[in-house]
Amino acid sequence: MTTAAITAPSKPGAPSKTRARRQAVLWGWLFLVPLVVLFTAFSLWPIVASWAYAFFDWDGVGPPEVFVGLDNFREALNSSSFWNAFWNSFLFSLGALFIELPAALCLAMLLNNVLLRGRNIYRLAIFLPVVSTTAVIGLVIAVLLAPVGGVVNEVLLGIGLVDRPVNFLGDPNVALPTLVVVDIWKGFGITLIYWLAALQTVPKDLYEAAKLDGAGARQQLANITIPVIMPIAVVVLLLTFQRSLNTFDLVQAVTGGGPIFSTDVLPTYIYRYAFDASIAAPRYGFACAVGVIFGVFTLIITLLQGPLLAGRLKRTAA
Amino acid sequence: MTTTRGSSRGFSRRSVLLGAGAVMATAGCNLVGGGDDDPTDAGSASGGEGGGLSGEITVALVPDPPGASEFYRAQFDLFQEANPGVTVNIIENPSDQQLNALELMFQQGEGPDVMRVQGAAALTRFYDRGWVAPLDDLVNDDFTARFPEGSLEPTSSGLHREGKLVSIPLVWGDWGYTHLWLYNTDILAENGYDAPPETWSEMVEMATTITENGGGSVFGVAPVSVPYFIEVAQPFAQKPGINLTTGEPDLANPNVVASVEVWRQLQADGVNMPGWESWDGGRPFTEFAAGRLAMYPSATWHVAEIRKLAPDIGLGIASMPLPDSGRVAYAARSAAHQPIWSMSAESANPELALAAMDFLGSVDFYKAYYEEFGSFTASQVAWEDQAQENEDQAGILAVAATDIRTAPNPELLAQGAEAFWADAGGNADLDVKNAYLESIVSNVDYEPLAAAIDTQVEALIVQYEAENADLRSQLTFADWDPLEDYTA
Amino acid sequence: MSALITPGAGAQAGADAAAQVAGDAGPPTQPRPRARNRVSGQARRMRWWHLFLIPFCFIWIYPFLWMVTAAFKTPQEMLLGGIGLWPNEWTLDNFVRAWTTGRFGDYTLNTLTFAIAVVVIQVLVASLAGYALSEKTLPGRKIVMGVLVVAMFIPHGYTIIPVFQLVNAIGLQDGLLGAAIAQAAPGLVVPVLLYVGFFSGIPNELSEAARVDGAGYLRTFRSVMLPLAKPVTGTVVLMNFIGAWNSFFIPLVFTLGRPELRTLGVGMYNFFGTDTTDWTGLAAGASIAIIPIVIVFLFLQRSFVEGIAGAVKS
Repeated sequence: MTTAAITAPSKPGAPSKTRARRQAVLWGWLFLVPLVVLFTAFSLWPIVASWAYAFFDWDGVGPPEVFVGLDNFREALNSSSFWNAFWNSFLFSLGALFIELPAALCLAMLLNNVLLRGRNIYRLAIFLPVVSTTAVIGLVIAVLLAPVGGVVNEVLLGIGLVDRPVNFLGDPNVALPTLVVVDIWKGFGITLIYWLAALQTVPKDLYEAAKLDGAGARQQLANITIPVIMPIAVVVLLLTFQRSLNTFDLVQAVTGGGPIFSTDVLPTYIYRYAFDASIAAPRYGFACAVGVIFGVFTLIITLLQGPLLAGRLKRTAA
Repeated sequence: MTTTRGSSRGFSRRSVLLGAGAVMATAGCNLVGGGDDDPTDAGSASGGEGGGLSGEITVALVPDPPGASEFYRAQFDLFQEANPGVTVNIIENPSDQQLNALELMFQQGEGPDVMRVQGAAALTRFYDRGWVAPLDDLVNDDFTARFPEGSLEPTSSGLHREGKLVSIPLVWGDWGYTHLWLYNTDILAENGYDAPPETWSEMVEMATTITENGGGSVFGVAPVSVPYFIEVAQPFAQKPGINLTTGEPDLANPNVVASVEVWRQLQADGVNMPGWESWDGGRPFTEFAAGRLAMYPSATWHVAEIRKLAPDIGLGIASMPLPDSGRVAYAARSAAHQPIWSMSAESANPELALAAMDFLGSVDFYKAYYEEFGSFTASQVAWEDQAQENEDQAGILAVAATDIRTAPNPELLAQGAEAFWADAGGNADLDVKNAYLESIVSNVDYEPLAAAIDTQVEALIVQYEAENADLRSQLTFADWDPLEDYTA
Repeated sequence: MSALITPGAGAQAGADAAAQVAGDAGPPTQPRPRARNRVSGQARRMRWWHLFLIPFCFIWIYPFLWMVTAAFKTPQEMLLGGIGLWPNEWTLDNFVRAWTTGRFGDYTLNTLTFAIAVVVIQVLVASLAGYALSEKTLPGRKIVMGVLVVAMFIPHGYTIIPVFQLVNAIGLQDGLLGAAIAQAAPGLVVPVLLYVGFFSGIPNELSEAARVDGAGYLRTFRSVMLPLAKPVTGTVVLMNFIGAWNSFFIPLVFTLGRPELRTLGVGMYNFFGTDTTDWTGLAAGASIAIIPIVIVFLFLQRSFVEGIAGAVKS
């Protein structure tokens, strides 16, 4: 790195405050340059471009020529299958936020305890589903949950919880909750690792001190752990929310969005219009419009549903 | 657990960083991509002297089915041996990504010389963009003799666009139109049946009995590939659902309603094997091979897959059961061939590319493919005798010989209805599958769901009629008897 | 000019400040023997957790174990043999096919190059930016943060075409660097936010102390802040290494002209045919590809994530 040669000569003892401040700002901006360049070129520009495609009837090849104005947006907003996929996607995110996030935090606190032997192996075990190939997992899940000869159904029948096999993936009313649970299982390790990293930032001494003050486990959690990990927790929350909204591989591998679209989520919906090999005329323009609507709605709902989050962001940003 | 062996104790951070650095250094040229020996550029070094071919070409293909990767390499090695001085570079793409990959390659100006275009829809798209070269130079008596007689007519071959030959087939034309009723002879025998069902009511009766006797571990049928079951009751291709004898959208006609009703009733009575609702394409033959599913409507390729999984299973191959009142239609052959291979119009070495196309369309190649994978290939002479000696393949041939009739294809006839046909057929929202699945799974009436699609198709026709007033007559073949082959 | 501040010292300062945040910084005067008693009592109590964790983890990873053992089964046994783990008939054919069909030999080096390039780009860019953005008084900070968060919610999947055109325009289309940049850039948001979250949790006193000692902005970052951020770095490396390792679409699209540069994620797709899938070959390929990830995981967990915990404890 060439920048390493430059050192800021601020003389100890006689610092010119405004000069040091100006220098800090310059350095800060310099540090931001790689991010701004890469992110603008490879992330923002494609997004803006896809906003433009959304106004065209375009099959993805050559320059888009047929301008259709807001037709794509109108079509998506008036389509019941769009809204079906939309709400299904949100069910996935509800599962992630209200089940996966707290459960992973609890497990992370357990696996963060240095007194627990073999915690690295446990962490690895919890993490393994994340890196297992989704297509193969889809096959295993289908075999495990099969109404005919599936282990899960045999156990449920055996202990008398149900009196006839549950059609976990074939019944349109059951398939979506089933997939939400499987998705939580598959992604749980990611959240766990983020929580573990967050917990590492809590200094051990704090707990010792709190214990001496007679604070119980719950008080330690409320008074030490939560406040200290809060800045990272906000990021983990955002990340989990965003990841759960983009569940694609698993749904595609296990049900393909079926039966009769009961597990269709927006990424599979978009895929059907833009990339599915069986479609003769891909509609990239329409798919882009759906993506734009999805992004905007998600953002609005995030900001509406999380006044806490918004406040927190504001405080961090201020 | 194997993972404990991979303990990181032996690693220091520095050693890992050093290792990473070494990898980066050795692979450095891969990072930026040296422009040294770009295969597609080298293709420009053509120059056939004295009739011999030389130079390089690139073939973009799909290594399908499993094992095809080695097969194609071996075949093109033979081609290279026969033509010293020729190099064939193979680019393999996953089958789902082949078309995306081809499009991006052409956009980059690096289109392959020979490519697998995967079927009629993509061929039309590529042709319209000017990426596909005409192959009429290949056609001579020897070439024509390789394929069934009369199957290379521009209006029915499926390989022509605007009268020009632009593609070569791989599998036999009827391979995809042949739809089988597979049954497990052992399960049928256990339930007192010695023959497969010939009518819908026989099918319902047998399936119900088998499921009842199966005790929750063996089931009579599963409603997979419902279109194969419907097609004997309606005289038209299901996409876009237009009755070609009347030119009207006709998905809600009483015969189709009745055929969906059969499955809906079986589902309501708990006869269908549960779980089929979310099966992927491989699951029916797996369940059949496992002996849990007694009968189902199937595509031809399932037969070989079942044999692979269960070599000794009692596998029966029959025609689709018919409505009790008799057959209304046959499986509709909408083209004589399925287009697969095409040549790039931008090839830098067209002479060599054409020779490679000729090779892919040769009897030797077709024979080798059939022997390797068991699929019937486009040249019947390459496999006909052998297939008769194989019980399963003979069974498929028997069904194919009786159950298919040529239907008019407004797209190939090229009288003006092509744009509408492609648009309506490629529209996922007009897929009748949505209607019959919802009817069967949710136990609701099929008729209103299908009628809703009919209304949309009709609206689309009207929309196209604004620019093409003759559209309706181009979609109507009043003289055609659906029980006979259509002849233009 | 003794500007070198050890990570341990920095962590201690962080600890004190964080204690103030928590609001109950009692004087650390611990009577040692009591503490040790409590610790060993706790350790005994922790042991009971194994009774829950061992069966729980076994069920949890059952599908994974099934995938690994399926790699040693025949296709018949995998598809028809139900859910049993142990193969009746062991075979290595699947691994042979993974090596030839999946080209795992050729593709492993490419994948390593690609994944390391992605991770290096991300850690460099994200830690620099995260440090800068953690300074709350930096002008323009709000805009950058806002754009990052908003961009997080716009799906990227179908925007490959503009990226492809861009990479073409700057001439990186036929190498893994173009692919690595295209893979790394859209994934920068989360690492940046993580670094921002971490650095803003570190008290200003620490960097001011460093500056009083004569360390410049860059040096404070390099010698104090970046080492402190190990847990975040470890997590960022882990997640993005895995992402890059399994990545499919970007390496495919960016190596169209040079298929010899493809990665394992692409090779894996050679098992999917148009109609059928070579499931046991896929399981073998997946099992091979997972080994490096497990190594990286264990390494990062011990050396990075646990490392910082040790520093804080002391």
